[in-house]
Amino acid sequence: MSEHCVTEAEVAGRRRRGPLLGPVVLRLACLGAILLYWELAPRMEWISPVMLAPLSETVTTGLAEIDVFARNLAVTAGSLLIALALALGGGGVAGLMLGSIRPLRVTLLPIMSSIYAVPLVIVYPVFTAWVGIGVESKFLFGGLYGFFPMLLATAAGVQTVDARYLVAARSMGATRTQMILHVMLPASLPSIISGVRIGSAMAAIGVVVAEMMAATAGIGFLITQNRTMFNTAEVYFGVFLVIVLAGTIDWAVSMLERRAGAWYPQKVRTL
Amino acid sequence: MARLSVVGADRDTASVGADLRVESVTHVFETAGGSLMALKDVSFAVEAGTFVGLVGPSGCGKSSLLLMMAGLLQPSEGQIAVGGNIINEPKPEEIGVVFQELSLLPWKTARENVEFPLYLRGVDRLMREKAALEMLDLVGLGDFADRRPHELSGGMKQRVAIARGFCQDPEILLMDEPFAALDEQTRMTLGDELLHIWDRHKKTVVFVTHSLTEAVYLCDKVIVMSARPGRILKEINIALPRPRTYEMMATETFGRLRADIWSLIRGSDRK
Repeated sequence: MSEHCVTEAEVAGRRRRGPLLGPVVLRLACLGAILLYWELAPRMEWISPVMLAPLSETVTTGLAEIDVFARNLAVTAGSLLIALALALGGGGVAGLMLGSIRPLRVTLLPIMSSIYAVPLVIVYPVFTAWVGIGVESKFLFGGLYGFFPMLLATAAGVQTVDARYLVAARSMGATRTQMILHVMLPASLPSIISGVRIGSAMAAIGVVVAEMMAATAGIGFLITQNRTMFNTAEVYFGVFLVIVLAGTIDWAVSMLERRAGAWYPQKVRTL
Repeated sequence: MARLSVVGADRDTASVGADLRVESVTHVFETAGGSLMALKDVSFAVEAGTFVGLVGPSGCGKSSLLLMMAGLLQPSEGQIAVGGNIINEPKPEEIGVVFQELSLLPWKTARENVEFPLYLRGVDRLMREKAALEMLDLVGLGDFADRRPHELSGGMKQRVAIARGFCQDPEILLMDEPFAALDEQTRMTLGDELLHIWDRHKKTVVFVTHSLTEAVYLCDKVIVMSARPGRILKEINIALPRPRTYEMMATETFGRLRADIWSLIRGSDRK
């Protein structure tokens, strides 16, 4: 009990000694500076307008062609959702199995971590040969990209569950399924969520990169197409949409983390 | 409180509980440096409804023996039986374990932890909540039912663990140094509370401890074990009346019993 009080007091103390401007203000200021530079640099010819379209031009161009962008964004978002389901669902289940079944872990886990180290983009051409350049190749590739980090993080989480919890649950008569659902899964949740974070970011990269390499629709496709035509403003608007997409995923994961992490001791959570 | 009648028909023994018999148990650990004999021909019996202590120098195999009684570890030779049935797997309705600190599941509240063994057994929600709250009340934590372990002090956590053990409602409760991590004052208070609960619920308790004072104070019989390989040196009956009081610690009988145990342990350590 006393330990807990001390950390709270420390936090309060730190707050009092904090800088004049809060971190939120500073963050907004940084963002503002970047946006300002984006507007000024091409206008003042610090950077060639062919390389970088000013912010205002990017936005007006984008808005003028908003229906095209919206249609392609929907394609990308749809592929991404399926990719996420494949990566997180498949990687999660596989990680759970590899982490908890010893023979599987010993034989397969080293192979899985080796595959994770390979830049999978190199197999994309083969991939399109198998499934074509339609939307299937996008979500399959994105799913594959996010699968390995999710698998590895989940397996690591399950493997490092405190043995005391397992022994206690076993003495209380937990069956194997109960053990997985009520002990292993919640105990490895912090690790699983970091897998979700990395896995979903990778899935997004996979989908967009696949669209950029060979596709018929999607934001990545739009970016590549406009780049070849030197439509700089359109390229940047596309980039901006990808950032928004990535930001949304990140926000969703943070929400998940906050809900799931309610049981972490205060000390861990503030670090 | 009446027994929770959630168990079903396979409870063949009377409500008083069953005798626990340890029969010529020998245990050998295989380690990297060869095999290590932890227990050598250990036999003793624990009568139903009694409070029995297990003391001995560190590494004498007390904890291994306890794991075997819980069905979590198989002896190399010999057997352990409860009411005539050999224990070779966890039998949560017959044997429960209260572990040292930190076996509570950190993502569950105190109440959820206490009702967990009932949940695993499929007891319906209202019934297990009621049982858990009653138990928490009994250990003086009625107001802390919704706190998670990290919000509780060491003594409170151990109270929750004891409440969980009693809520599981086995015939025999094994306790593995449950107070080892606590300061002396908390330890004494909890010892008294444990006796109080035991008095109301009349279970068979096997209590592993390092503290000779605790052993004499709590137990009907103290089983003294030798240094490795663990053997039974002597079973000492504690002829102190119940209820036990602090004043008894100052009596000659108490002092003599404690000294007897100590000289046995010291003697075995020197050989």
